[in-house]
Amino acid sequence: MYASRNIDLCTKDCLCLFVCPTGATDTETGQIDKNLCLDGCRLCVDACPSHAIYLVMSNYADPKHKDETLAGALMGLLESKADQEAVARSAAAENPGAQKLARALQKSMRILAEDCAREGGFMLPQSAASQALLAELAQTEDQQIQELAVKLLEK
Amino acid sequence: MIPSPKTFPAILSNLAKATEKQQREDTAQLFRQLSEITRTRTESAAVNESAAGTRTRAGTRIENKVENDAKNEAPGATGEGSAEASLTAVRERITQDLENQYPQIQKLAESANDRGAQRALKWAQKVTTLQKSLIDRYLLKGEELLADSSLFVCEACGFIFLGKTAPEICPVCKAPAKRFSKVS
Ligand code: SF4
Ligand code: SF4
Repeated sequence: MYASRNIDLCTKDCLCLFVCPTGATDTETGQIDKNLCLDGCRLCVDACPSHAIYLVMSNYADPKHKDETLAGALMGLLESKADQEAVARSAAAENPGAQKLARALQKSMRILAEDCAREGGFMLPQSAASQALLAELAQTEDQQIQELAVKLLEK
Repeated sequence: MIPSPKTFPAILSNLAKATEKQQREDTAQLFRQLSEITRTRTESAAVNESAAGTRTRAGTRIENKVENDAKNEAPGATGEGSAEASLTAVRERITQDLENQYPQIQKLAESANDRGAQRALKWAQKVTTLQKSLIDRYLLKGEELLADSSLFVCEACGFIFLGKTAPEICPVCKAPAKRFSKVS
């Protein structure tokens, strides 16, 4: 586990700089240097008056079991949202208002689809379903897809 | 089980968001790239298939197959269509989801006692209902509807808001105004 700073919440009170035993909180990027951060220490998390620091896990437990029929139905709904996104994307460039609405719909459909993906077993890249998908993509003939999938499997 | 290729772009962009939250920006970048590439591949495959006169749909959808096949011929299904035709096509599809998919999947989620899925479906159903009414308003009023208002999308739940500025809180998921992004 390492600490991470939500820069939107940070009010620069600098208590984290004061308590950190390694100086990991003191960087120019605004982010905590995770290479210096001590696994599970959390001193800065507790010291921060703005609740701007949280711990990110290095390893995640397996997700709760998903009912397979339900997961399959959610993936079907995802497919439906992907279709609708594609239809909205195909809207021709004529009326600016209609175009804007089509763009809003594309974005909205994608967000709905992503929610289906999360509930359908693809919450985290560490999950078994995500790893299986990457393994499958690493086998495709399409070289660009294959290369990216291989890189992601190594991460 | 590996889902259909159409689902890849959203699965992968969701994983990009998940890795962003884990502060792994380089990994997130790779997921975003892979998401975009799989999207262009699926879309060009759909265009090729429809050009060859074959069906563009296959999947594990619950709802009425016959009605669906009719939709394949609908304007805007693939390639370029007029904006109104595309909006009408989206409207027909979401109407089907509202009538068939949401109620059926919600029942499955209830019997599986899956709170996460129930929450997701409830939000999605509201967002979809509001998408439909927005499309209806556009089809009725035309360009005038957006003449001096903007569209904002809630990044948390997908709700589309029409107005001068983003709402203070999202009526669907209660996210604050800063989670809304303006559609350019
Ligand atoms: S203690 Fe919290 S608010 Fe202060 S500098 Fe650190 S992160 Fe920012
Ligand atoms: S968790 Fe400990 S080591 Fe890591 S940044 Fe915070 S204070 Fe420093």
